[in-house]
Amino acid sequence: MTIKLKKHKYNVISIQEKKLKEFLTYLGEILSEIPALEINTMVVEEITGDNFIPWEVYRDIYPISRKYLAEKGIHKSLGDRYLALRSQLELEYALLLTDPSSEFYELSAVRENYPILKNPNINIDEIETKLPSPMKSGISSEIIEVQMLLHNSRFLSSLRKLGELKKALDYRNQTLQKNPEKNPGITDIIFAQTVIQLNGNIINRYAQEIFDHPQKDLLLKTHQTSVETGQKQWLKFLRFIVDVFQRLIN
Amino acid sequence: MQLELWLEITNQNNTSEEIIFNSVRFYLDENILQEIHQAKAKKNNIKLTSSYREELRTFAIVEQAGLTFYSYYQEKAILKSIIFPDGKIIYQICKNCLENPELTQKIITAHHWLIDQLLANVTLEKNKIMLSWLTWVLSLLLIIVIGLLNFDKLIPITPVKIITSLGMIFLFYWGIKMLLQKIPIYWKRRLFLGIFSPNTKLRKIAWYILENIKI
Repeated sequence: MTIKLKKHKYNVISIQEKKLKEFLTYLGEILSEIPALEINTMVVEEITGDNFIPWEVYRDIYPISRKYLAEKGIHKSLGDRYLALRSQLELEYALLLTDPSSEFYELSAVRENYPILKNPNINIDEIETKLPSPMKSGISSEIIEVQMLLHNSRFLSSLRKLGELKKALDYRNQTLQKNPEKNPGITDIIFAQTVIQLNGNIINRYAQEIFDHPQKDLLLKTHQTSVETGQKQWLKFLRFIVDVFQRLIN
Repeated sequence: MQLELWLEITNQNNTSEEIIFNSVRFYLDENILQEIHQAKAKKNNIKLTSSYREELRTFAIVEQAGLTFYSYYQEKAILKSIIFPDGKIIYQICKNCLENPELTQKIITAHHWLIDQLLANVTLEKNKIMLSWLTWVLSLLLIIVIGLLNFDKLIPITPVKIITSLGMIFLFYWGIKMLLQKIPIYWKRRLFLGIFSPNTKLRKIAWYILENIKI
């Protein structure tokens, strides 16, 4: 019994070491690529307070196709947005497979094999997916691949963003299903986005609907506050992580 | 401010099959908002207890897919922020709360101020003095033990013996400092990985070492 326990503990530590290593690589990428800050503000119908469960999000985005959307009765006006989420997921995976520094890198991975890399707006129904399927039952190699993918920090980060956007789209779909005549306005879309590049360029994007909104001033002020505080908060967060890892590695 | 009453760091355990990412939640009401705005105006900072700091640091390191903060008012989630390590930030605001702009503004200000305060609390302070003190105490203890074991040879005390003892203290200081700085690379990693483990005692030791002793 003691031996079993020890073995289990060893496994936990080795998994965590691996996770730590992956995160360090990811952190290295972030720092070397000189990130641009991107602050997105949304008005949403409801904030559910659910914790992020990567498996569920992956399982919900993976099957999206025109046929699937029709079967689910998704409102036609939202079809393209759902498909864009699925394409983005495919693109993230293709980037992992073709990146030599990634653990998912395949020697045989030639950029030609990934049409999504050449045209990110490609119709997702026309290409063959490279993503492992989460739909298989039992323990298959594909399920293990999904599990591995869901331990990759870079992929997780993208998946989470897609998950948030999908949740908002689902709400928008519900609203439209209940009352197709009603215009949901700015609800459940990113109504304001600010990108701050490190060379000093600042790009602001606003949804058209914001300018007719009765609470326009409050919303724009909210976004402005988010931009100002967001920069500081992100820096503090990053500084802390870098500090911890510096102390461990020195 | 009695943080413990309205600040929650969710702690859903991860199983090997399912990863779950946790979040920090602020449960606000009129009184707490008032307190926060007063603290902000007076530039008072929140000083978290060591156990909260420890939880927060673990949260900041483990949540590699972004830090999530929620603000609740009357049991309803009003605001949500997700801060991703790669510089993307998503803010969500609940549609219904726009009907009361004044209150919404107060909640937004409190939400951002609290996140600022929490992130200021996770920072590790560099403290080299602690290592120095620890090394001095250890060297002195070592000399005392050696002195007690060889008590008969110490008497009578001569200037040569005093100088030798002082020299030995410095030598021990140098040696112990080297040991503390160089050896524990492996040990530090083990302790650090203990952060993820449910063994809170080990986790506490790890954070204590990382926070107080610059090794």
